Amino acid sequence: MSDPVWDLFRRGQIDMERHHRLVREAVQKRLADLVGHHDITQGGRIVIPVRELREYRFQFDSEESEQTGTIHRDPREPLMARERPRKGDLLGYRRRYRGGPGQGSGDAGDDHEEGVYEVAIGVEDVEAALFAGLELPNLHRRALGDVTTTDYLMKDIRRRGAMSNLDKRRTALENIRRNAAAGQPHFGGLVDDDLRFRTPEVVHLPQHRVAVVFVRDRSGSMNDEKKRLTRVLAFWIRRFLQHKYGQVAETAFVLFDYAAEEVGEEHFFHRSEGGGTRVSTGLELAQRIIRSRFPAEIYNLYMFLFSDGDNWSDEDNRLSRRIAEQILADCNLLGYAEMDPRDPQQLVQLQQAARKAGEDRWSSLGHVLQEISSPAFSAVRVRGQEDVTTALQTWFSRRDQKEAM
Amino acid sequence: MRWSEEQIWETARLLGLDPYPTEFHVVPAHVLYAVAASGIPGHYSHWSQGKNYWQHMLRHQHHMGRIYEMVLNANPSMAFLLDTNSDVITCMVMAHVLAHVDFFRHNRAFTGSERRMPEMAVLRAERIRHYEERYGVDVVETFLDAVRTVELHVDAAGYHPDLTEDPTPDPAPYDDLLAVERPAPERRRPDYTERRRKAGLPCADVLGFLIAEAPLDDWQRDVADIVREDGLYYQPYVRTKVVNEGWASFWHSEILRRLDLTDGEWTEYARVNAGVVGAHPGAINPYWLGLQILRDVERRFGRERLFEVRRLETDATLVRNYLTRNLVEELHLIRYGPVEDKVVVTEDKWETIRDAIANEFAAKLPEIVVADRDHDGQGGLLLEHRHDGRPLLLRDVEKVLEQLQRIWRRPVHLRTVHDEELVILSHDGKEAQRRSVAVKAG
Repeated sequence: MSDPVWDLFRRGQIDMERHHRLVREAVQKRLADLVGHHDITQGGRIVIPVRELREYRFQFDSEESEQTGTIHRDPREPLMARERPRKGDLLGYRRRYRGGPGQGSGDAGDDHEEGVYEVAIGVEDVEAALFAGLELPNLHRRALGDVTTTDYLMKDIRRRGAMSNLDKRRTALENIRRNAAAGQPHFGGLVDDDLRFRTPEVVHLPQHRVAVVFVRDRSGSMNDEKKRLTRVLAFWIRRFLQHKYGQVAETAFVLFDYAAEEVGEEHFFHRSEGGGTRVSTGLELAQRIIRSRFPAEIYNLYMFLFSDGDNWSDEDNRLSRRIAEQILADCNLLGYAEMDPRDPQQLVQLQQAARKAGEDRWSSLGHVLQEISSPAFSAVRVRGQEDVTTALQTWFSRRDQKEAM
Repeated sequence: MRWSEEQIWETARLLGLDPYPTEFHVVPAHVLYAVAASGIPGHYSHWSQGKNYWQHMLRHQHHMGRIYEMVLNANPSMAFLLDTNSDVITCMVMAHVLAHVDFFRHNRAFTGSERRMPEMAVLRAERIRHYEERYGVDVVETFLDAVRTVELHVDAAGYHPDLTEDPTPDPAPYDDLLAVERPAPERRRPDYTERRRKAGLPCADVLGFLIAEAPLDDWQRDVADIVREDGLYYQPYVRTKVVNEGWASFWHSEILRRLDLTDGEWTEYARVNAGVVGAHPGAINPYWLGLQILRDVERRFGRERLFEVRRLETDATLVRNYLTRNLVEELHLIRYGPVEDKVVVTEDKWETIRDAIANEFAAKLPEIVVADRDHDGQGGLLLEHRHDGRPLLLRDVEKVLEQLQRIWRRPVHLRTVHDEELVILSHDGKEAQRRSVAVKAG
């Protein structure tokens, strides 16, 4: 019925996209907060409220004002005299009334609900925002060319080939191009000359593999929150390596307290024991695993150590540092996460103490490990969910020099 | 369609309507809603219009409401009708539109309004696009967000830009190839260099005051001026919503009554009409109130009087002059409001109810004036809310002040009455503040 030219009218669409882009930007700003969110790393979706974008104007507070209106649905139907409203008649109750007797209502205007969009966020959304800011440290270049595999990729386009490999899009394009050259830009009248075929090409791909070794302190001081944060960090590390290398990283999990053992993934994130801590045992076992299973010639190796830094002795701290330095020779990145989640009750005291000391308080292990000069070593402190993003950004950044954290 | 456009025109003229020539565009929903969202076809882009469009389209797609038409105050006028309307509804909407255009043409409130708005809007949108290219979409958007907060706080009498010839613009690379004819008047742009003289205070033209006295670049002044022109254009709409919709609803039914509708068409018309002009419990549907008052005027004074109403009245004066005791009672109008956790009837005297409605329509928006250009000794701007018993939504006031201080580049304050106390709200670009002033409100 309407003129078909209106189909080209995209103005509403354009303005709408602008609005949606602003909403997305508002969501983006909040994604960093969601990186540490447990449900996200469990593959679930969480729904976050995003405040409706609206234009602010000087306006009356209708909730607080008197209003005028009709009280009858059908005004033609006469009200009986007794139904005629009188001053003081009760009409209903306020939905959002929060004040009570004696309570000032000076902020009554703030009680209004703002419109809220509910945006479901999944791991892909967070990932897209998070990974955009991350890079592989790019420190050791593995001798990638040494070990190669042979593969066939459909890279080449030729005029002859098997019909099953016909590239329809390019064929159509050639056809239209030929017709256009003859002054008739349309599709039709296919001839053999138009046909294009995808053709396999032999490629030699450098073979590289990725491995990541997670080492975690399982001493009694590693409480549930520390374990949860470890799990979230490990989730994003593996996901990021997979994203960058296009393959799932091979993994090994080491738990240690006074002694170390290799465990399966299912135990790694949950188990804790009582007892003391010797970080060096964990690193030693990790080093053995690396030497036997992840030779540096083939593997891009990543290793992460999670501990609250509460080590047995300073001597063991120094031993740990020496082992770490040996591992670093073969390692793209050795990340140390000092798990120090804030305890809300102690928070104030801790902050005061930190302010007095004039610095963040690293553990003695943290101090010793930071003497490592290799740029492939990187230490972060994880005090809460909001530090997860910072930790990942610190580890996975392009750098040539060691950066102080 | 079963009835020709001429047939509807003819009937309208016979009944005494005298609209401007009107172009009807029958368009798909996405066009109608886009035009309705921006108010004027060709209007400059803004995200708020995109939001409006999106929400209307959603509602439309879920059958939760539709817009039937969109008509512009212009000469010639333009109207957009939904292409999925049935014949009888299209006919009703056309009749409704013609009565609106008649109202635009003859009502006093629209005297002096810009009748070439569609052309102007396109040229202005082009200028804004040019600024977007030059200064960046985000920069222009941020500035638009700020000035639009006071879009309707303008006053045609409060601010007269001196018009001078626009200097010849730098030739663009392809100007010689694409010589576009521009209407002459738009080449006259306000000469901002002349406007350093200070406006008299208090000044009700808040946006005009900012254009004249805020530290703005020329492009920003131009953008602000475009927004101000929009505000001036919309003002009469805001002031005549009830009488205008009542007028249009009155005449669409008069016109349809004179066409040969089948029973089925009557039923469909009656259903749609009831939705449009029905009462909204707890509120005032402007279509409903306007139609009820006009019907009553016709009953009491005859049809000729309606044409006088159409010429002279705004919503406030219509209510003051024609909302009688009988009507207040017949329409079950009451005043109600919050008392602690309850909502109760606060007024049952008909005169008080009438006056309250009239006052609400007289000031649909809070009355805000510029009171002082150096309130705090730091060049801070002081706005004053002329309190009429209705409190402001303070949370939004703070947001507006935050936007305004971006324009003024110094703190912006607003004085109002809240809970019977004189309060000053401020924003200095970093944070909002509220403080009570010791002096009792007078």
